[in-house]
Amino acid sequence: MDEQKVKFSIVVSGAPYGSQSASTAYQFCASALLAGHEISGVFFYQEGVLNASQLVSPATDEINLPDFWAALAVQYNFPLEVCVSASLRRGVVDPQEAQQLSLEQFNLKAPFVLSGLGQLAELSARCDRLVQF
Amino acid sequence: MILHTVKSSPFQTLALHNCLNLLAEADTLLLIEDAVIACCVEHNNYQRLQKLSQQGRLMVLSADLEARAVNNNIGKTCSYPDFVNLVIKHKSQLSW
Repeated sequence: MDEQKVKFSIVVSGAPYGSQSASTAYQFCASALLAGHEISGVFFYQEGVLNASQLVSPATDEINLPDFWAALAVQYNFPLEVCVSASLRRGVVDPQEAQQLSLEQFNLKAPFVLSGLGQLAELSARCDRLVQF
Repeated sequence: MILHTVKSSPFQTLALHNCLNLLAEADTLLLIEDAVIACCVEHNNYQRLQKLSQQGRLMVLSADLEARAVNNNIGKTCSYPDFVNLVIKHKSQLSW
């Protein structure tokens, strides 16, 4: 299996700041893609949903993980799925939810999309290896 | 055949301890993030790790050793590309 192209699905449950796991997950994805493998999708769960906020603004000499995720997903064309119930609890909202909940703002970053655990089940069924961080 | 990844220090959580209790014969243990310290200094589960290391079943992520300016006394260091290959080699991965 080493020689052939492998499809990975990734689960990220750590915030972009304060825990290392989102950064580890990003570096794993970048390495897998560089080696010619495929990422079927990344699912952001629990604190991991904070990776999808467009308001994350670290100091200019630090990396902006949400930007890195977005760029990688666009370059290699894979979905960034964000658990909707974990997101709403943590203040990560897309335009549709904002309207439904009568909120004045939304902050979900493109190309992240809100989805549910069903999507995680689908991602895990669609890949060769599911990796949790 | 599972690749277990532990990410917290043995001085902080029981993740490593619990993982070692469930580790099967064909499984491999990869220490990442704060867990890399478990290969550098002695602790309650150090001898169990030594045994795994002798069997070639203990890996440590080198980037996380370097980030903490520590050296591993046991275990085999691996890079991110090695990490990817370890996941491929095992049937599944379990994060602790």
